[in-house]
Amino acid sequence: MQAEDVKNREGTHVDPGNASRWRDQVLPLISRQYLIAILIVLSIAVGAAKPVFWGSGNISNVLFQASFVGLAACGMTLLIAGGLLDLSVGGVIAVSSIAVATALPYGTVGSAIGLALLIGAVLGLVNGLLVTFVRIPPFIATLGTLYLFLGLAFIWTGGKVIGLSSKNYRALTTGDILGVPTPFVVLVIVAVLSYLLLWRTYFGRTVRAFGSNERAASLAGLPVKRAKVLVFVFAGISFALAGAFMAGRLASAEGNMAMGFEMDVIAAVVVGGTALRGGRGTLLGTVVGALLFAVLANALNLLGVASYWQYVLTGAVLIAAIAVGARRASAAEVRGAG
Amino acid sequence: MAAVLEVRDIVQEYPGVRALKGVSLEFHPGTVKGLVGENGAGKSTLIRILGGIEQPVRGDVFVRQDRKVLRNSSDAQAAGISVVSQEFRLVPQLSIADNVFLGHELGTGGVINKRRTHELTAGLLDQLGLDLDPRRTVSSLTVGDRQMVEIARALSRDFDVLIMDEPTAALNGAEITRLHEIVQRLASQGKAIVYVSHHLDEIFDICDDVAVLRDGELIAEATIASLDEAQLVEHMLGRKPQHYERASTTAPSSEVRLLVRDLEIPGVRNPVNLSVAAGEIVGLAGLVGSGRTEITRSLFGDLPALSGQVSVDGKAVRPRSSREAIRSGIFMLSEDRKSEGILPHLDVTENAMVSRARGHLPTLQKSVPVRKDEGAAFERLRQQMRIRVPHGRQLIGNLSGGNQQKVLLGRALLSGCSVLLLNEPTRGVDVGAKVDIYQLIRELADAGVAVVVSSSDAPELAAIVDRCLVYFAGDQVAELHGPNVTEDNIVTASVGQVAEEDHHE
Amino acid sequence: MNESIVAPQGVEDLVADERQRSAERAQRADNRRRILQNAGIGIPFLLVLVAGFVAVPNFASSSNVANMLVNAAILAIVGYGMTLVIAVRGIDLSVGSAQALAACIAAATVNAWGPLAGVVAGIGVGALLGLFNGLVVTQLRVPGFIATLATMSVFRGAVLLFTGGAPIMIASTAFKSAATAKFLAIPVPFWIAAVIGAAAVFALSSMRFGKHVVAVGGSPESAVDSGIKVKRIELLAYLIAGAAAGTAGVLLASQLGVVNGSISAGLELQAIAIVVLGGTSMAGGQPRIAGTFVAALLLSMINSGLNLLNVPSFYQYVALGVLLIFALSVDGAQRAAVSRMMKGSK
Repeated sequence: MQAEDVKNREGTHVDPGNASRWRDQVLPLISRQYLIAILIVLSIAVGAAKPVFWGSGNISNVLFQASFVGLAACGMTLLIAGGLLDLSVGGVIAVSSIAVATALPYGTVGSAIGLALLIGAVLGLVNGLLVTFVRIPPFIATLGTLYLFLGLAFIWTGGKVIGLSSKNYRALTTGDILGVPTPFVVLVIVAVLSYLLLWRTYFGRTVRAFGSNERAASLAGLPVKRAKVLVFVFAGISFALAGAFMAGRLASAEGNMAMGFEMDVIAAVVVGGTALRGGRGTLLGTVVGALLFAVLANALNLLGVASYWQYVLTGAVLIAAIAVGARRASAAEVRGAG
Repeated sequence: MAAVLEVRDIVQEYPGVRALKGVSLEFHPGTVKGLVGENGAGKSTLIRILGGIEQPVRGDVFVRQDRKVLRNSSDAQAAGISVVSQEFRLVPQLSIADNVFLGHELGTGGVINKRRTHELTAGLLDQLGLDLDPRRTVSSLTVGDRQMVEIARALSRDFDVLIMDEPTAALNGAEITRLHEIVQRLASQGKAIVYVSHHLDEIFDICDDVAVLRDGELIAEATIASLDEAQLVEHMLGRKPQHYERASTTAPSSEVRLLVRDLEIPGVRNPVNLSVAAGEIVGLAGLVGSGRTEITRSLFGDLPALSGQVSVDGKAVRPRSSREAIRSGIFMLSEDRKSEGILPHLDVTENAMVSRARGHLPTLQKSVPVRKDEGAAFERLRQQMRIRVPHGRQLIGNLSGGNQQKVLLGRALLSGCSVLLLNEPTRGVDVGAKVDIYQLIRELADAGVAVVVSSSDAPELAAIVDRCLVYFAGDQVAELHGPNVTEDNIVTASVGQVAEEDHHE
Repeated sequence: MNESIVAPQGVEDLVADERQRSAERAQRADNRRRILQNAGIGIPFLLVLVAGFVAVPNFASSSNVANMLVNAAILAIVGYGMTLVIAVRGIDLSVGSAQALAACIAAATVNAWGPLAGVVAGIGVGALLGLFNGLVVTQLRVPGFIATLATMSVFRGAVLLFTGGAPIMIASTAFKSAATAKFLAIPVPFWIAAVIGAAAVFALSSMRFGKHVVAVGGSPESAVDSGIKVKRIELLAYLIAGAAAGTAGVLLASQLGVVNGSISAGLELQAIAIVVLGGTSMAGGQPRIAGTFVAALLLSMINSGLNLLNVPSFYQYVALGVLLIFALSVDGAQRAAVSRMMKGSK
């Protein structure tokens, strides 16, 4: 039986420094580049199977598709970093696009887009208020508003498709800048802005703080409620922006133009490496994730796979991405010591 | 006699911490073994391993000489180990009876025999001297009663080893006496009891032998008769118990920073009156559930007061949220660092900066955080607070409890508060950091902050506070001053044993 | 005052007092909760019932009543499963897709092997899909709402692939008449829903499984400590939810006679709405099967009323969204009131 021998307390501590720097900084970098590697390998493979893939028309197709998802995903990334979620993407896109289509004959292109963004902000505000002040869990509140917004969209259009005839609008939203589709350029700008907002402002810090530990964030005196509402508003605007470009591309707007879009958006964010538990978010990952899904969908199309398979595949990839993320996170999880 | 339970060379690690460094212990039938050690010594970890809630990275558990792997709590229960945990582990929506027999329900074919469940529960409660209807839902019980139900639950199982982790933390004097009788009766029936307590009196009262843990190692194991209290404390601390020089020699200034008048707080019986001067440290003592937590929460705007006045530096304040409280110069650190303190995904710098007062910063930094400036501010804090962290980008979740607490104290400091409310400031903090933290609290007070420390650790209060208010069942039962602030006085008042004659000088 | 203040009254009194206050607080909180729960479902139910009788033509006609009861029964059965999942702090967004897949496979099986095989196939497929959800949630550790959001898409894709987008007509008249058959003047599906509901109430209140469900939802840590296999309970809840969706899918196939890959879209919203409206808290640990049953009747009356009034179907979306948000607001208010009570405010 051990008697009293006093050992050196200091000597046996595991040094957390190196191990955690590895975990905090190096690992995410590798896993992000891993994603880019997958994207490149996938593109090459698809290109080898179907050389049409590298045709300039097809590539711009992929970039368009990635931009719509990516724009909405920027807002979603901030929401998820805050431990929130918005399932009403499809509803916000429908309402704001219909607003654009309705307003265009009467106003300038700029005012139409402005109107869309304003509507996005208002619908985001509704979500934010419901979640923050009525205290409804976000996924379920926004599931409710998804149907609410869709209902509004259908009522507005009477269930019909509204054509979008303005040449200027179409030229602006489907044109290109130095060969790159305009929406993709806008996506890059929005992604950079979102990054700065999330990582370099007090607002972003508050979002990450309540995403990490909401109770601790409000006890630290952070303006949690305000930031929560605002991040929904920001997300609403980003959805509406995606909608404005989608309407331009489709040359029309209708109630079910973005049915099920929330899945694609969440999948892009999560596959990009933003964990659902909140506290962090990677915008680069989100853009890569959006590209990945766009390439995948395009490949399925080129290979002539039934479009129904896309439902199955998106869902399966989403589950796989989160399951892998959950394993990784739990391996690195800090457990309560003591 | 053969050991009924034995652990050999148990090692447990958390990221960055080795909580147990190869502990071996035997538990014999019919004996009560005290398990003592400071916070963070590894007692709770050991208990969680014995209860099957955690699995050790190395080492073996033997039950009656058979090696057993306890993968979960059912394994532990099947092996005859019953645990009364420190946290309340009852389901508030279920009745007392359902809770007592949760996981080992009485009945056949999945259908519960309600009558028998109620009868047996009533019997157990009766044994514990508790006159409660088994059908009452647990959410309607007081904290002390919940603790007793927790004990009833452990007793309802077939067990050879009963582990009690600070069972008296929420019990009053009479209840403690009854519990001690029960423990001794169980031991005489041949059960092995493991009794964890902070109160050394208890250890000397009921234990046959005692094991001391310090920093994850077994430091000493001896029969209780072969030790006296001073020796035990020395084992726990690893040095002679030094009596902290209380700094109240420098009389606190008369400048009152926090003044509370007739504050009516939900959960506290009588209106609270309190005044704390600049540089003064006031302690709030009392059992778990005695109302002291409610007081700090209410002052911090987390639990809105019903009526009364609070003023900080002569200005009336009425915080309805933590944000407002911080604006008016009050800051609080919660007792639950993990779920109410740290922001685990943010680095230490951001964790320290979140509550920083921005009023006096340059214009740019009022609207946007500037990394260079924050890095420098953290560096100053790191030196001042003696935070052991390799760099400012380290995630706070990976630090030890003591260093996390120092970062949080830094957060409080940067908030520029004039009143600081601390709850259990050294819970889960190892011995070395504990002394640092006491010193930091003193330094904050010396800098003119009015400090309120709410703690269940009587020696801690005795060591650092100038004045101590003791609460019992939602009522202030004693106010101790200067030389009267001793561990003994605090403990006796806390468990409700205030006798009229004790407290006159 | 500068020395020691001595307890003004005996310690025993203080303890007894505190016990008394604690019990009173709990009593008040309980009353408040019950009032809000009952008002949340009772008042809308009565309002809609009265409005239906007064303002909607043919609302009380026997064919409409029978129709409403069948719809309510199908909805309620899905709701029971959802109640269980929500009680263990989960959610199942895939019930609509699961029901569609179960209904289509049931229909195809009826055509190939007869009604009995169809019933077994439908329920079995539902249970399998529920098992799949449960495994993803418990084994892959994907949060319930996102796991089932993904499987909602997967199952929908599967049913569209299964049907190839074409409707399946059910040939068996025996199978089709089951949904409209009556026993003691009440449609058989309603009896089925009532019996399953009664069984669920019994299981939750008087069986080991029920206590474990409440424990897992009310305090997962306690459940773990008590040796309850939390993952198994969660898995079972999802499995039962899937089986319930399958059972309802069989009834739906019988009622419709023709099924296709896009039926039951949006069912998850209706199911969640009735569960929460019925008083089951999103916070877990409080299953209220009876409430779900009544709320299913309420929703079925609303749908039927709007149909009879020839309101375009878009408005039903809006109505459903509003209903859900109303239900959740009541749930939120109820939780807030209870937590205020427990803290001791007046």
